[in-house]
Amino acid sequence: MRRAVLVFCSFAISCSPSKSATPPPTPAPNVVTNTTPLIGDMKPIVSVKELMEYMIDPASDFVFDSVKTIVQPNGKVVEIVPKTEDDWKKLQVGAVTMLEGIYLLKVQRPFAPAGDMNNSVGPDANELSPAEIAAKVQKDPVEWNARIEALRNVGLQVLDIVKRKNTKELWDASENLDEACEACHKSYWYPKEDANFYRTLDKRLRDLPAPPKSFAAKPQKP
Amino acid sequence: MRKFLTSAIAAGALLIGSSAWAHHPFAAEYDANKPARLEGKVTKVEWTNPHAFLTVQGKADDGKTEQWRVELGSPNALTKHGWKRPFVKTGDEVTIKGWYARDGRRMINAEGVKLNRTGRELDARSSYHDAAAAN
Repeated sequence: MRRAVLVFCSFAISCSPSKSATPPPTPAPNVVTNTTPLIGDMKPIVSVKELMEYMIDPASDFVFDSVKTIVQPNGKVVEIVPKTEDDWKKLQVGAVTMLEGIYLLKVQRPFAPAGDMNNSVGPDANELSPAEIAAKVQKDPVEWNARIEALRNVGLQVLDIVKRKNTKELWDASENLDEACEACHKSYWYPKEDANFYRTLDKRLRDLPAPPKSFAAKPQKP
Repeated sequence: MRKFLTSAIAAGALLIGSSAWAHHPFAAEYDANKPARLEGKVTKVEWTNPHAFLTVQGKADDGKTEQWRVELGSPNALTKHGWKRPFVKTGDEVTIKGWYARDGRRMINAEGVKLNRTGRELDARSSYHDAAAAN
């Protein structure tokens, strides 16, 4: 696992347009490096959970919602992609909010609001508690930072697409975003939704009593 | 610009007002103790990330005919498991197996979708199934 994380980190770093194999002697204009001191303190107001709910998740929806294929009731196929300047602006808002906002996860803050234990207690508990998440991050901060960089890279990819107004690459970016989000959530939020959990679910479906007649699938004429 | 800001604020308000996250643990939205069966006609197909959706007008376990929203896996995951975009079209009769939403909304997380016309069933690769494959 550690090896996989290291590989993942190497990949994340190698994909970042702000870094290169041979670092330049001076930072590129407008690029803030790790060595640049902050102007003042960073004081977190909300927990990680709230930051995700009220900033990162809504911002990601601007990206997800920018590209769709919809088959309407009349059979007409509608391809949704950004068309107007406003459409592209909205996508840019999503990308910038996501890629800058995700760095706020580097500021130490509670993982959930006070008293919120996530779904970590009880028979159907399948989420890590805030304390368990904190312990996991403390044990391996490299992974935490790699997950952040992975999402940031998707934000940079979307910004580049906006710059070139290249709708063909939006599906790729949207899939990359899905993968970056899900990989992080599976590691820190709901790792207990593992193979055993799903095998149990599948068994429940298989053990369902025979469907009533109304559910018997009748082959239709093509 | 004003028009954009108005629509962005409206979209933001809608998003903040929504309780459903784009990404969510299975158990946050769906009830593992409520297996679902739905048979009916597809009225809308949405290919979008992070989940594709079907809208189905049909009869669920309670015998009532209503409109249901059926959550599938991501388009990428569906494609990996044999789906092609024309697999389900509006007007097709389908049988869905999956799980009901916790909060009583007419939503189902699909485990499988059977096309009644051919009898072919495909894995719907909803979020929970993706994780099973990864383990």
